[in-house]
Amino acid sequence: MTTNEAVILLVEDNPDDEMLTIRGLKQNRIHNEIIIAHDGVEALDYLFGTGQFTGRDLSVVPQVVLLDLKLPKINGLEVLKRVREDERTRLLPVVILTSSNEERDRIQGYDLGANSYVRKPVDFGEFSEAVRQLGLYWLILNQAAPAGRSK
Amino acid sequence: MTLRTKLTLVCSIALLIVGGVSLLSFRWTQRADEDQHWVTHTRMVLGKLDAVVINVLSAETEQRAYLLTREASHLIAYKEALNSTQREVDEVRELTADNPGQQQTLKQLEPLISKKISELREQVTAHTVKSIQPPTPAPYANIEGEATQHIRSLITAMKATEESLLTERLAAAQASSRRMKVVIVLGNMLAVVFFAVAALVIYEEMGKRRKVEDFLRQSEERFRLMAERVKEYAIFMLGPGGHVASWNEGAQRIKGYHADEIIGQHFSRFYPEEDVMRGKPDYELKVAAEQGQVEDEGWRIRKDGTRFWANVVITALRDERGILRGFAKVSRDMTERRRAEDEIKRQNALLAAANKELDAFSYSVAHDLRAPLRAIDGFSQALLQDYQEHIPEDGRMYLERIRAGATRMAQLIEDLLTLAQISRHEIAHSEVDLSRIAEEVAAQLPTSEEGRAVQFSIAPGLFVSGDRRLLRIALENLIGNAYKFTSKQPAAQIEFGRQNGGGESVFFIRDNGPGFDMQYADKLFGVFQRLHRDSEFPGTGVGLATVQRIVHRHGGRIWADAAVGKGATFYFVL
Repeated sequence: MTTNEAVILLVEDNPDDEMLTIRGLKQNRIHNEIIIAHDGVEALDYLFGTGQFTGRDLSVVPQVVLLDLKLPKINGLEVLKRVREDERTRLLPVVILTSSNEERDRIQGYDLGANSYVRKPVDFGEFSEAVRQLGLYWLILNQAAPAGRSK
Repeated sequence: MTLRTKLTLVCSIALLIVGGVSLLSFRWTQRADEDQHWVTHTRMVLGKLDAVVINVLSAETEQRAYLLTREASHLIAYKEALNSTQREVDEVRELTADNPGQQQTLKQLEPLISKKISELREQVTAHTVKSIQPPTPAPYANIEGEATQHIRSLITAMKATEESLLTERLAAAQASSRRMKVVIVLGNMLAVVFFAVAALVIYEEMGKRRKVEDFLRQSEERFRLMAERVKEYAIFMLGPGGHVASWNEGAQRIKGYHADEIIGQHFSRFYPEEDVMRGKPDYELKVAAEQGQVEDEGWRIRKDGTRFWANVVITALRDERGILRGFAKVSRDMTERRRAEDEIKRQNALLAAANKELDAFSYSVAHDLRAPLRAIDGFSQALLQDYQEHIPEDGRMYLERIRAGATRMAQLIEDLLTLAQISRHEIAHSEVDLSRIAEEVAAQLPTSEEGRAVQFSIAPGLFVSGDRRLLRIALENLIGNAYKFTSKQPAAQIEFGRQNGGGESVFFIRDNGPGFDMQYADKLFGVFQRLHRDSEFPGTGVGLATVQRIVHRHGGRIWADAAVGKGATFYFVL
């Protein structure tokens, strides 16, 4: 279950959750490169090659973005909004992975063009299973939109 | 027939009668005058006739006296009598000109009289010329003779005729006078009767009108007194020009003016200056006059200059011909209500702020309290997985307990969030099929798990108006509880149905689980309150509190009935 060239962008401020997510991915033998952004600004910098990611090779587009909602500086929904507004990332698969099951978060998330909304379970067994299914779907099954032809 | 027609008719008849009687009396009086005239006439004729006889006899007597005495006085008297006789006869002829019978008789009489007079004259002449000796007086019988007797008898006949005429005329006059009296008396009596009838009708009508007027006056009086004594509302009248025409206690209480000082003043003084500048008072009168009524809410000024928030209704008053007579103005002091409304708005704003805070809090709880639990569970699991062989049996057991604690805490948080959400959730009413929801909830429960045999008995077609999402949560909890508490029952039975209780539809969920002691029933619906040990039947103690809150948010009630070992039934009314 590997597609090494595909990159996963994990936007997560909580180091525990970051570690657990990575553990879940690894346990499910998903060995893709995982880029970590610790807040909304970092996530956007990575995606658009700005800030600390200035000059990054923008041809490397994440296969999927796992986006937490409650983030410092720029929150997840705002990140999603900017991603969808930009031509380069308009069709980027974004999965919201969050603790919240607030109805309005779900509605707003989907409104802004989230591809999925997954709630992080407290039970690690369940969490691991969720991560496994996400990886399986977005990295293996899902066919991404052809790069550079997103318009 | 209207009263006017009736009265006109009756009075006309009476007047006609009076008029007729007057006319008749006039004519009969005229007739009586004529009769009287004829009576007089007849009497005159009779007198003349008597005079003729007397004069003839007198002439004869004087002539004889003269012939005997030769005294000149007798001769003068004789001549006088002769002249008179001639005159009387002429008068009788004139008087009886209308009576051919009498004229006829007169024609017989005149030659006799003329002959008598001639005889008398001849005797006088002969005597004077032939001798100076006194003539032998003719015997009485001779002188009287045939001629005189004839004259007498003719005159008597004429007198008889006149007398019979007199009798006739008197009788006629009497009869007509009697008739006249009868007619006048009866006619006047009749007229009086008619006038009396008219008077009666008028009297009755006046009585009726007075009663109506009294009633109206009393009613008006009552209304006026009522309006005067109303204290909650200022009720007063305005003239067509907007000047205060009446005042009540409420007006005095609300506006502060005494009736004496405000009646006659223009009502614009109740308005704030800015409204008067904008012409609002006159505008409101204009609208009321055009549309019949105007309602307004706004600030008004009391006598002491303070403002109050008033609800005002101005109604145009028109008479039956549609002419504007003035306005009725009813004002209510709404200051308190407005203050209360403002207070409610303020409280609502506070509540909204509090809710927003609670929202933010819940949101935070949802995110931030769960993350550490996930770390606790995740890393406990990581220890168990990665260091399995380094951890003794006890250690593994402890780690499992840590994990269970984290899971339980997560569940508590979850349940509390649901409970909080129910309070914040806006109820959206629709027709909800409770039977179907119950079926769905039951279907999701693992019936075959652990060899459980659960028999669900769900009455079909139970509809209710309510919030679908909340009612589903309620049924999930109630049916979930029933399922949980029958887990040790070899043949579990769970029933959902509806029954009538005191005219209400009472829904119930019944199980044949262990039940509970009713003395603890008051703890059933409290948050975190449990009647069973967690090791017997696990739970957070939030479920029934949630159900109760849902039922309450629908304006309903929930209660339970149970006995130890006899199962439990939860009833609710929405």
